[in-house]
Amino acid sequence: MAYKYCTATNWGKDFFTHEERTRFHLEGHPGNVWIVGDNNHGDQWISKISGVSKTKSEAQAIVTGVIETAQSVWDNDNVSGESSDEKILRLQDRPATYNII
Amino acid sequence: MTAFKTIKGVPVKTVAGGQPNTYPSPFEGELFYDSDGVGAFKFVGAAAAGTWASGGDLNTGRSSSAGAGTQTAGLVFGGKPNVAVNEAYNGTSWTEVGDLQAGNMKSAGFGIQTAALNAGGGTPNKDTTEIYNGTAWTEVNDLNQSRNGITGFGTTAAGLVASGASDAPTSLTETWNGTCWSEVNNLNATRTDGASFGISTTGVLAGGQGTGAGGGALVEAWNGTCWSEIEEMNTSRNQFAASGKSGVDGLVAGGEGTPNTANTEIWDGTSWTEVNNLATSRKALTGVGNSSSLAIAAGATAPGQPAVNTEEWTIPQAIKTVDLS
Repeated sequence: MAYKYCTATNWGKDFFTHEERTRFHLEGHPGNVWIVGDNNHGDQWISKISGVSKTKSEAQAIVTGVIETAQSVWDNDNVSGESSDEKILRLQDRPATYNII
Repeated sequence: MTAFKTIKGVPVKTVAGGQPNTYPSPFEGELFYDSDGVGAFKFVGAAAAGTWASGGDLNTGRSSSAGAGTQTAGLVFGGKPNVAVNEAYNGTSWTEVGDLQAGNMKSAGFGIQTAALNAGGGTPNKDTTEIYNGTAWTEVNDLNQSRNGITGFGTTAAGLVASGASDAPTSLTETWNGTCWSEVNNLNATRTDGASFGISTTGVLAGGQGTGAGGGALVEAWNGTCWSEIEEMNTSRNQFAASGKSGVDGLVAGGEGTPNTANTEIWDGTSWTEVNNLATSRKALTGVGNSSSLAIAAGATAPGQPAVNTEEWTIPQAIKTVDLS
């Protein structure tokens, strides 16, 4: 399946509808990155939301950048005397990067 | 009807009174004879697949909240980072309403928009219970065991909480009779950060952490007295949303992972079925509603960043009755 990539801020109600979800693949990722099924309905949705077109590598870089920022925040959030297990209990696991489709 | 029985091996069911076309219908995909009025053969078609659509944004982004109510009359309260904020949903937008008495997160919430209960949570671990009357929260009798990562279901008159963690994941279960909590039969598996749905006499508690190998897919059913293990979910998960109107009708979605999952499953009392995914994978999200109409809110979609985004689960097409006469 082919995909298109874009960025757009989710404005809430009707940003994507039930009907649209039945017509094309849609995934949201960190950094307001959206992966959209490459068909006419997907194109119409990107137009509706004024999505800014990205290549896959650009989209991946945005997602990775957001996660790396979160990793830095996590790394620098320390409490004196806290064990690593206690830190995970307080903050949950360190955010991990991943590859988009 | 004789021909039908000859061909299909079973007689056509006869129905008198109202049409059984409210989802889920026991007549879904079946021919039946409507004996009311003029009488007619009718067919109840299968419901269309459910999907998630975007809903209104929360005013305060957060994760690990508790919730109560329905898609068009929902309530989400508390959440990370230990806030007391309470918001009501009308199916379109969220409005801030009476705050919890104290900030809370990872607590158990259930009930309806005008009569909700919030119990446990943390950090630090709490044993407190608050009840909402549609306007304000009032502290009532405490849990017997303080804990967070707890989950529960029911009403402000008859409810249940189970699982959670104080020092370690627990299997403790307590029931609420409208006045106080009583310890009852434990879960079979200790766990925290699971999720549940149901009413005081029939419910389901699924997933979570601390349940051993593969434990995040474990599911137990509550029959009003004790827990029994039932079919596992297809996807192991913790910190996810669950909602449903009984122990035989529920939905789970999302959960922790790398990346977090968008996976959604429906429970019909017999088996779990994978259905359409959330648009945005997320963990520590809150679900309110039931398997055919569920609003969901507040999940950490970006690592470490509480989200305001809501998604609404709806089976868009009610079962249709077609007159074949």
